[in-house]
This record gives sequence, structure tokens and C-alpha cells, in this order.
Amino acid sequence: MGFSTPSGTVARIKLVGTPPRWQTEPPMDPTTPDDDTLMRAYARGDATAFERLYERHHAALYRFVHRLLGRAAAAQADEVFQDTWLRVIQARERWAPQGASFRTWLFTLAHHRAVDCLRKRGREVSVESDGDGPWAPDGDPWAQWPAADAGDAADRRFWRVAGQRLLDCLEGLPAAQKAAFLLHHEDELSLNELAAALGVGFETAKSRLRYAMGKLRACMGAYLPATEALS
Amino acid sequence: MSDELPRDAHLCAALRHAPDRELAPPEALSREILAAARAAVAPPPWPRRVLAKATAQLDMLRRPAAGAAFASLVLATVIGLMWRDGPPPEADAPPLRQAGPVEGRADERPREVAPPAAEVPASIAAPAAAREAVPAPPTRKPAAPAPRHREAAAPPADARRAPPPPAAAAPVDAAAPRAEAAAAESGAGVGAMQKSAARPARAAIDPLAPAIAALDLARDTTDAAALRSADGALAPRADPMRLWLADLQRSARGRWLAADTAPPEPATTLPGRDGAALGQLVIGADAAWWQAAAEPGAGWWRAPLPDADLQRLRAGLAAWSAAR
Repeated sequence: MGFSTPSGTVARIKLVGTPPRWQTEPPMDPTTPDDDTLMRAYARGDATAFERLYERHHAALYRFVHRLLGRAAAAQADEVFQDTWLRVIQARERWAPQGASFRTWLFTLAHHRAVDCLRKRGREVSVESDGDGPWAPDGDPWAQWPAADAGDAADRRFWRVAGQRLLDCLEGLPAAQKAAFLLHHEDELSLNELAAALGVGFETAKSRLRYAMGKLRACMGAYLPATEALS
Repeated sequence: MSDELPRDAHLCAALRHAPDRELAPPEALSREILAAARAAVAPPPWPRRVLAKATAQLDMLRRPAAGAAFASLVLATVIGLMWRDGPPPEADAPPLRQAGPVEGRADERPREVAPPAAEVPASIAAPAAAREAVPAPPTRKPAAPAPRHREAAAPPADARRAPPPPAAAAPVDAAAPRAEAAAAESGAGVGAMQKSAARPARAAIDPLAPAIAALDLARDTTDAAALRSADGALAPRADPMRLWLADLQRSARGRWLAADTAPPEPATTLPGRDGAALGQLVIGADAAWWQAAAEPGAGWWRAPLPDADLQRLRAGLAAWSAAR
């Protein structure tokens, strides 16, 4: 394709599929209590269990809230984040794992609270007028991108710029599609969990996710020529 | 085809390298959330705990079964408290209701004896007490009450001449011997009086009273017909021993003390109507002594008296002893 990578090495100009994070991270220590166990312990009065839950999920949740609210409502991120955890605290005795994990429940709470916040600000949160359908590129628009886990400094710089570009692209997504993408790709919810978290049916959740991925791919593909300027 | 939509590896990689990757909540916000979490599961202060428990108990009492059980428990507690020191006054002979101004343990003997209310023999004091007292149950009346009321209407002349009671006599204490006399007159009987004597905290105000009551009771049951004259009226009584006992009771009022030793002088036995001894008495050099036959283990009572009273009592004792 006559495309040069930021590192300039032709050997790396190839389709590199990085395995997803949930396949590369080491499995959880079996002796470590899972989220549901910790939440039950907290409901019985063990405050340290809550501290472990908070330590385990606070960064991802804060990031999710920030990204979902976007730059326009970033000032409310702290409030939404705090409200989410306070709801966890208040609901500790009523909480029961009914098919969904604690993490799914936690992100569901945050999603609902963020959507409320966006509605108050008059932001559009519906995806019912998405247009003709998801964009489908003719080929793989980033077939020649470097490997995501490259150790090369130039490659790392490429991915940082790509990450920033992705955040910019997310700003252009409707909140519902943004939530679907973030929950599925960043927080690793399955489609079933995604549907439950968004409070929609399975097909609706799948459709929102496909729309989001298509738009982001297009947005990122449009960014691709600009990466050449980095080299 | 799987329903699961595969994640886009490049988008995931871009997310992982996004510049907000290290975004984290402010420290103050984290501290606030963790503090709220700890406070939510911290034990509440004790007033709130107590209030919550009390509220829960009251809520439980709203159920009829629980309310009935609680009411039964309260009733049982009240009855138990009423009967803690024995039967309530209503269960005893009615006159004894007024006989116990001194409260104390049943095994304690009072060191001070309250004076009787009036300077009259028990048979004279009876009508007033009988008017105040509730009549005893029929099964506990050994004698017919009608002659007693008539004889009370015509008391002996010497009894009517009795001096008035001393002004220093306390009203509460005065009620006790009057009630004892009423007990004897209203037919509470020797048994009731002995029962009250066994409980000194209630009735052992005048140690002579049980003996006098027993003497009067025996006289009522055996001599009532003999005391009537031909026209049916009751003759005045002139039993010297009974009059002497009234004199002793009057003179020793408020002076009786439980003695630790027996009197040095020889004792005279006070006989009852049936010949059985009612007690032993001594008119000593400086005091009168009395020990009831019903309670020989209880020891002697001693009443220090003036010489004039002792001389009079000593002479009277000699007179009725000689007559018998």
C-alpha cells in the first residue's frame, strides 16, 4: 500500500492483530476474593472489603465516566463518580448478584447517572436517528499500523497519538453508542451484559455497538493519513 | 455465526494508549467516598441503637399475641409484688389491717413497743374498732357477735372511769392496740392473734394483747350465758385478774422492751379459762416482766415502771392470785 510506519521499518508493515487485554492479562489469583464476595462482606459490615473493591475498580470507572460525559460535561465527572459509589454504599444490603457481576452493576449505575447528567445538560443521548447504518470500510483501514505492544519509542508515540485521536472520535459519538463501545471494548462487558447495563435488548445493544465501532473505524481511518506526518 | 461481536483490536489498543489512561479521581474525593463507606457500616452510637431496639419491641407488641403475652407478664409481676411479703392485707383477718404500723423483717423483734390508743381495757375499746373494721369471714367467727355488742353498750363502771389516753400517744401507734383489741372482740380468735404474734413486725406491739384477747375470747365462749341476769341483760364483769391485766397493760404502755435475760424474781403463771397457762409474769423491783406461753422461745419482755405503779400492781397480783 505504499505506507510507511512511524518507525519506518517495512518489516512491521503488516497486519498485526494484538490480542485483547482480557486474553493477555494474568488470571486472577484464585485465593483473591472476587467482587461479589467482597460486596457481600461489605454488606455484612466489613469496610475493608469496600476499600478493596474501590481499589480494584475506581480508575476504570472514573475513566469511563470521564469518557462518557466528554469534554463538555467533564466538570460533572467527579459528581457522577461519587454518586455512583454512594449508590453502591446505600444499596449494599439490597445487592444480590442476579446474573450480572458486580462490575457490570457498578458500570450500569455509572452509566445511568451519567445519562441523567447529560439529559440535564440538554445533550442528546438517543441513537434512534443514526442514519443509514454503520460505516463499513472497503478494507482494513489500519492494516499497516504498528503492533500495539511495540516497544519502539516511535511506535509508542504513534499509539499515544492514536489514543488521543480515538478520544476525539468518541466526542463525536452519541452517548448511547459511546457507552456501548466503552463498556464493550474498555470494560470488557459481554453483549449480554452490555444489554443489561444499557437497559435495552440484546439486538439493540449489538446494533449500537456496531454503529459505534463503524464510526470510530471511519474516524480513525480518516486519521490515518495524518499519522504519516509523524514519521 | 456467534452472536458475540468481536472486539476491534486496534480500537482496544488505541484505548489503552489514550492519554487519559492514567486518569484517576482526586485523592480528596477518594477519601470522602471511603469515609462514607466506613461510616455506613460503623456501629451506630448507643442511643440510636437503644432507640432502634425499643422501636422494634414496640412494633412487635402491636401483634395481638405478643400484646396479650406482655399484658399477662405485667399482671403476673404486679400480683407477685403484692404477695411478695405474704398475703395482701385483704387475705388476712380484717382487723389486722390496722395492726401493723411497724414494717420490718419477720424475724426481727421490735425493740420498742407502741402504746395502746386508749386507757381502757380491750373490751371497752372494741366497739370503736369494730365499727372501723371490716367483719371477719363467718367461718372465722368462733363466737356470736350479738352479745358482745350489747355488752359493749354497757361497759363496766370501773372501765368507764379509766383516765384519758396520754396526749403524747402517736395516732399511728395508737391504732395498733385498738385494732388488736378489735381482733379479739370481733372473733378473729386466738389463732389469728397467735399468728400475728408470730409476725412481730406487724402485730407484736403490746406483748400482753394476745393473752388478754385469749382470755376474753375464752370468757365469751364459756361464760356468756352465766353473765346474763334474769332479765337477759349482761352483768358487768368484775374478774380481778382481767382488771389487773388491764391495769398492767395501761401502766406498761410504750415501755415494753425485749429483755436479754430472765427476771431474777420468781414468776407467776397467768392461767387461762381452760386452765392452760397464757404466760408468765413478774412484778419485779423496778420493772414488770412478761413472757407469753405461746412463744416461750421468744424470751421475756420487760417494762420499767415507777415504784407507785409497781406497788399497786404487786398488790393487785397478790389479790387475784389469792382469790384463785
